[in-house]
Amino acid sequence: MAARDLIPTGIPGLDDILLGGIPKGNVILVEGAAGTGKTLLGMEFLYRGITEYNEPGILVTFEVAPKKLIRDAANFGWDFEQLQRQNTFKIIFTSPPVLNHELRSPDSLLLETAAQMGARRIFIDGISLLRSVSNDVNNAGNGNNHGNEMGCYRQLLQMLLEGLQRESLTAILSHEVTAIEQQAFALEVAEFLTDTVMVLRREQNRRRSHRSLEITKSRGQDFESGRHTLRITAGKGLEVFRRVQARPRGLDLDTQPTSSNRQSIIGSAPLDELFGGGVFDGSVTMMVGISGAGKTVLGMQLLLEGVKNGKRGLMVSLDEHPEQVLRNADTLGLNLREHLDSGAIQFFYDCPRELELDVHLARIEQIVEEHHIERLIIDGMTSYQTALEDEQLYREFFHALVSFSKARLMTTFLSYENPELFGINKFMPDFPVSSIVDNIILINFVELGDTLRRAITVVKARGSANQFVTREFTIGSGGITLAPVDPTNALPALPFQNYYGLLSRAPTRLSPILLPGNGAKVVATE
Amino acid sequence: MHQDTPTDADIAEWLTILSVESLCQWDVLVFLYHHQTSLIGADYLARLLGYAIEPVISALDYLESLGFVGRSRVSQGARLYQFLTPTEPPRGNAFERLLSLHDHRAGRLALSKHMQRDQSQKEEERRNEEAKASASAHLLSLQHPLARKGGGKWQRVI
Repeated sequence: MAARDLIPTGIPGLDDILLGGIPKGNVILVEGAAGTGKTLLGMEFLYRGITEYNEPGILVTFEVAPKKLIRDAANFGWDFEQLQRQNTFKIIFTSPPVLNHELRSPDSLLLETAAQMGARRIFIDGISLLRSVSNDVNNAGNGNNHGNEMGCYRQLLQMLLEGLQRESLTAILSHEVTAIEQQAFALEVAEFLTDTVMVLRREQNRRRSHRSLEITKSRGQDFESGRHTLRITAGKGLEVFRRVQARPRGLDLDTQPTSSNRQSIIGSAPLDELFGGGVFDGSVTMMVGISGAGKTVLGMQLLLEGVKNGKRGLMVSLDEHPEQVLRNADTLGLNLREHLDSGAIQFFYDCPRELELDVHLARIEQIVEEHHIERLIIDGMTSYQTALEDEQLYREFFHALVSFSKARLMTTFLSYENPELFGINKFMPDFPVSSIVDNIILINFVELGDTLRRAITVVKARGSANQFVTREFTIGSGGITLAPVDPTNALPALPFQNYYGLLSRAPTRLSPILLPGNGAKVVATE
Repeated sequence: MHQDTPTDADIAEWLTILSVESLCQWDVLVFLYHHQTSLIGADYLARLLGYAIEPVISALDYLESLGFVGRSRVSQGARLYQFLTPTEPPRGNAFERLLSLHDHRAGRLALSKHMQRDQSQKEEERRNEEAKASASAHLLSLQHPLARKGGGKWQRVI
């Protein structure tokens, strides 16, 4: 559908999932239980229409006092009083029987008022109340018959839609969802007749409450299906966040951007050599290691190295507040603060409590777009796992993040806390994503004598001739430094036959005197 | 008591400025103010406010004559009522003061008492006026017997 035939609702995020807006003249049914945000959605639709698109609007209410609606709207910064004075907005309080008569009347006062104001949008709050009128009509005629009642209600709604269409009004009708069977039938009738259906929900997950919006039908247009997060924020209003599972925007799988350029890791030649010359632009690297091994320090250095090469960076953390990260950076003499102040580096800290993934990913995407981020550090993938308590959701978020990163050709590093202190049996014991990422760096502790020392290994580097070498590193002033290697002191690379216990992950080198050819026999011992 | 609590005299003055005479008129006025634009029939309004339909119709007529409400033509037994905010300072101010009084129970009771008292005073005044008129007519008839020609009742007395 051409953009000119679409009417933007103006509600942040909603037009995104409607792929531009609602087809002109469509009648939208917004259904949901009490407290899901139906009235607010209708009011914001009117408010944005008037203030952003110069489309006057009318709100028809049966129950809630208009003064209260106006008062509540003021909490979101919507000044309906002023719009009323400008005659671009009107709240009309009426009763279901009057509206019913009005709809039958060729000289409807409601539609006359709409025409006088030049109204383009209308919101009728609580359309389910019209069912009581259809009951009366039905009872007065053929007695109490459920089929007839629904027939009458259907007819009533058809008349309403006809009237709205006559005046070329784009309408939102709100309909309450209850467990009452007759109400459910009424809702079904409304769903059939209206052009677009939006379902608002407020679901409980343990002690959390999550609002969502789902478009289940919209005639004449495509839309993003599924349940998207709906947020109601004081002082702002409604905001819809695409679900993380939705296909990334602008990503054409046939034309996935790729790069042959490599970026340095931390400006340390030995570390870049481990990777076979740095990492590719647009690659995703997982840094795996136990807590305290140095993942965050490496993350900070990755950002600083990016800035040095003109790449703006973003660090996302669920674990550490920016001030704490900055303090630690100061301690190590890393000038993160300076770059944060200049805007070359952004920091996004989100609280893991009540984490809403759709909102979180949208915020990351927004920062990346706004600040042209080219290097992204996610410090603490494990925290997502803990916060979400839902492996499927976590997996979907991970995929979404990787897709977004690749679509933008952004170089991304994700840190993952592996609980194994010494030696690693699995890269990721809980949720294996090693096949999704391009590179994997292992950061471990090594116990030598009575001292813990740090070791780094690049175990995976797609498209690179990485060195399968474990290097010692230290953390001190300036961050991570790789310990020098004396090539003259290195052990010669011996063939496998010089070792035993290869599959036990603890191979032991055979004594040279026991090797075949030296006149000795290998004796297997238990 | 709050120092801003209005006196009976204040309330009486504001009601006089507004020319609101009965509780029903006041309740209709407040309803229209809260709803601003209402597409309803007088019967529905009466039901919502708990009055019989006649006083509500009278109140609507009266409030329209005072310029507090604009009414559309009748359509299917309903009209579009539009509350018109009093713009001139004395009325606007009096309306605002009475509205703020209406916001709490004590104020509503004071207002209601006042209007009931007003109502009974007016009723009493009306009865006094009628009695006076009747007495004057009587006196007049006594002083001017010729004037009573054709006045059945008095003729019989005389």
